[in-house]
Amino acid sequence: MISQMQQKSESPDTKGKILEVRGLTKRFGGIIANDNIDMDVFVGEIVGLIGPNGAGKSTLFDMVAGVKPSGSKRFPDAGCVRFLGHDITQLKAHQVCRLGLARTFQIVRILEKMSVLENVTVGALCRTSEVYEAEKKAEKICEFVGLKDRQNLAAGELTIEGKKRLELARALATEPKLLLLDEVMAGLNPSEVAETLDLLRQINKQGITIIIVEHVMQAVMAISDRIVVLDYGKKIADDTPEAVVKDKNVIDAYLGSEDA
Amino acid sequence: MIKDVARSLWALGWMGGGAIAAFVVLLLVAPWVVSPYVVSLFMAMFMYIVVCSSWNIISGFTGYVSFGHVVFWGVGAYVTAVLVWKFNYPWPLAVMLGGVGSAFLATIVSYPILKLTGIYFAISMLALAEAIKILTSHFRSVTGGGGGIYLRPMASLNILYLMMGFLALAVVLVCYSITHTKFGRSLLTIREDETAAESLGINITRRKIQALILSGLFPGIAGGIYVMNVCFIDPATAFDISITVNIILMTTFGGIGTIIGPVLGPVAFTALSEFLWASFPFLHRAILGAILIAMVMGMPNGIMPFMVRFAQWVGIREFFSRRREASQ
Amino acid sequence: MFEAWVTVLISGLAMGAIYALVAGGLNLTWGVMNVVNMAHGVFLMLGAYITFMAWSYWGINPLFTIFLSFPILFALGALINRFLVRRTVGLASMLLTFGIFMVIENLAVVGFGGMYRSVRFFTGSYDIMGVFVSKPRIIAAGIAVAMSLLTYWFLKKTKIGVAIRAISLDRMMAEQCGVNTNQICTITFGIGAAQPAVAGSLMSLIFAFNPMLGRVFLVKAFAIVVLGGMGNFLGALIGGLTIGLVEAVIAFSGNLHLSEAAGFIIIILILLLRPSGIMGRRQ
Repeated sequence: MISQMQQKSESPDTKGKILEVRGLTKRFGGIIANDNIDMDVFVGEIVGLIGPNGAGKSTLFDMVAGVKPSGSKRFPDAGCVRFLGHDITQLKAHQVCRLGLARTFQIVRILEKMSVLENVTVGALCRTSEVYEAEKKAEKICEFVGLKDRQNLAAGELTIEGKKRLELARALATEPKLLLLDEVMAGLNPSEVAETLDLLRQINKQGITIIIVEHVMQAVMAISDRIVVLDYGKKIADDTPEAVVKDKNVIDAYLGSEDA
Repeated sequence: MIKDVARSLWALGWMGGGAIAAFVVLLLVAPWVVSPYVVSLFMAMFMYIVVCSSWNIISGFTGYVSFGHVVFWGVGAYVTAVLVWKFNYPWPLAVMLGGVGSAFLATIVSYPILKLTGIYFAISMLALAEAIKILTSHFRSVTGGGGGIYLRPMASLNILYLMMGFLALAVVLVCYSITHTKFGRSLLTIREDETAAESLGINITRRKIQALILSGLFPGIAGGIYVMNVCFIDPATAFDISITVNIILMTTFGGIGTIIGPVLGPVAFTALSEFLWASFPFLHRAILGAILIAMVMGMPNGIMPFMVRFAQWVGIREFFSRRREASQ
Repeated sequence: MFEAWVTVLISGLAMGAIYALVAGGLNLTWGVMNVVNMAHGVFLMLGAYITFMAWSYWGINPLFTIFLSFPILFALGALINRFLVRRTVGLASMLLTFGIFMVIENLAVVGFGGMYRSVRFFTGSYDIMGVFVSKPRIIAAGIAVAMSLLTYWFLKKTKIGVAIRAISLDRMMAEQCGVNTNQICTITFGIGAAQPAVAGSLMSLIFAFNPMLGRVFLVKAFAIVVLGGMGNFLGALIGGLTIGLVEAVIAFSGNLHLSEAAGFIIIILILLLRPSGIMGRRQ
């Protein structure tokens, strides 16, 4: 059934639009984390999603990927999310993943007691039911992201850089069409950031669309084709990196948040 | 999946295969060599290997610690006893249906109860066992009420002993194999992090339900074999919380979440508990309790860490690989 | 018929008041320390035996024996916490305290014998316009309610009580604010053991008991805590009264076994429908 859905999704009527968010609203008690957000992402793009702390970026990822944010129900209060032409608003995380949407987490969620290779194997098992096959594929992906020499370590023993890379590898192993990356460069040193940027470009060249939430501003400006800015749950800008840095709303939002 | 199972069995190698063959030979020879008393002791040990390994599927691999697992064993025993006593079913069929009965119970309770986690899951399993115990006493016309059911002896000790032995072997092999399949990997992932598991395409609800059903199936069969051997069952025995505690105690001792732990635990404890019964007939429960306290305080991961060091020294690492090491 | 129902309701509420006291202690250890105390039932049983011994050997009025059972079990609880429970929480504490349960229960069987005992001090019942109220029940219930309220006052108004509540909200933060958490937890566990002991003393007035007394009340106490919301001290009182009432009503409708099962079925339903308890905030 899933393969049928995927075939349908690649029909031309989606006009190259891979993700379509319409009027997405999510409240936590009295706080509005996402306020009527519209957003489009096209096939092959790298989109940067930025905003001050608490602007609702991670919540937006949770809502798109069908993850239950802590202390809340899974679904948005209003609005809808379409991925490759079908409505995924009410789908659970595993169904969304099956359709080809993978994510990493802001606070890494690796399986600490398993080895690095086993972590990636779990991701690969999304597309096959043979563990042996999945392990072969996981080995290739470990090599691709540069974890080959560490693949037999327990995942908990990795450095923060290694853990971020492992999450990326595990997400890639699920064969995504769209990758949501939540702060994969936070806490990395400049040379590690440069390596990660390289890696992301290579992934993008393979035809995987990427949305990236990032606080490392130079990095996100350097890699994104387009940048979406959130502030207090609202979308305040959506333009090329060059235009966004000159946008008055954006400057106010950042300066305002630093004053506070 | 079948390929994975075949590959995992092949990976047992000559050492694993030899161990299985040796076990089967000893199993078959034992009744001719030792007294019936020792045979029934072995049978009790095999029974605990079955229930501990089954408990380990939901509690060790999946991380949902059940404090009411005796309920599956008890329901299996009761289904078998009632079918034989009321409906004159042939006993081997009744034993198998005991397993079906406990798996059925697991199926109906699984969806709601697995929404709970941690302590809440543990306590609701405990409450489930207590509730079923009382309901069993209540529906006198079906279950014989609090007085229990007496059966006339039908199967010989040796036959039942062999059934229990082969069941134990089968359950251990099933547990070993599933850790090498997608299903087993999914369970281990769920234990580590449910949100991550779901984001990696694992249908956690379905996997947990499957794990609980599998975990409830074998104890039911073991309960059926047990009841054919002792020919008596009543609610107090069938749903005794001490059995649950024994299961947890033995498995923790052997090593939660390992394959070999739920085998070592029952072997060690059957011997120990037999010794305590004989030496301290009035205080053996207190001594077992003291051992439980000492274990929680002294070695929360069971004897596995020591065993791992020993095994690495001997050189058989495959059975004790890091993945299956005990977790909190 | 009306009088009969009132009788049932009153006796249910009376039993519920004692349940609430049993659950109150569990609520403290579970809600504050995250220790799932499986040894809860044996504290209750010890309380009953203290009353029995004091009454039968020294002829002490059973009502005054609560001044014995409270301090003795407080000391025992404090010691158990100091030497055993202190560093374990959650599932490990469940196993550990089950070990304690096995040891104490077994020792009690050896020491007291397995036969049933009873304290026949208050007998008969008051007849108030056709409503019969059993004397021991109503006296025990009165003391139980007083005890529960006293604990509630203690937690709300005293310095130690505030510290206990602070730990239940955030242990780390309490420690940062200068609360000696080890000491307070020892006191908490002491009270958590003494409360069911008083309940046990009161129960010995109502029915016959043996060393297995605690078993029945263990899971029931869990049910009450879950019903009232973990860590909610007024919730435990209301939960206890509710379960007492439900049991009495079902038993009066002619079904003793089902009334026993009621507690367990309630616990499962509440956990599923409203995990934070009837008094708890909805998440």
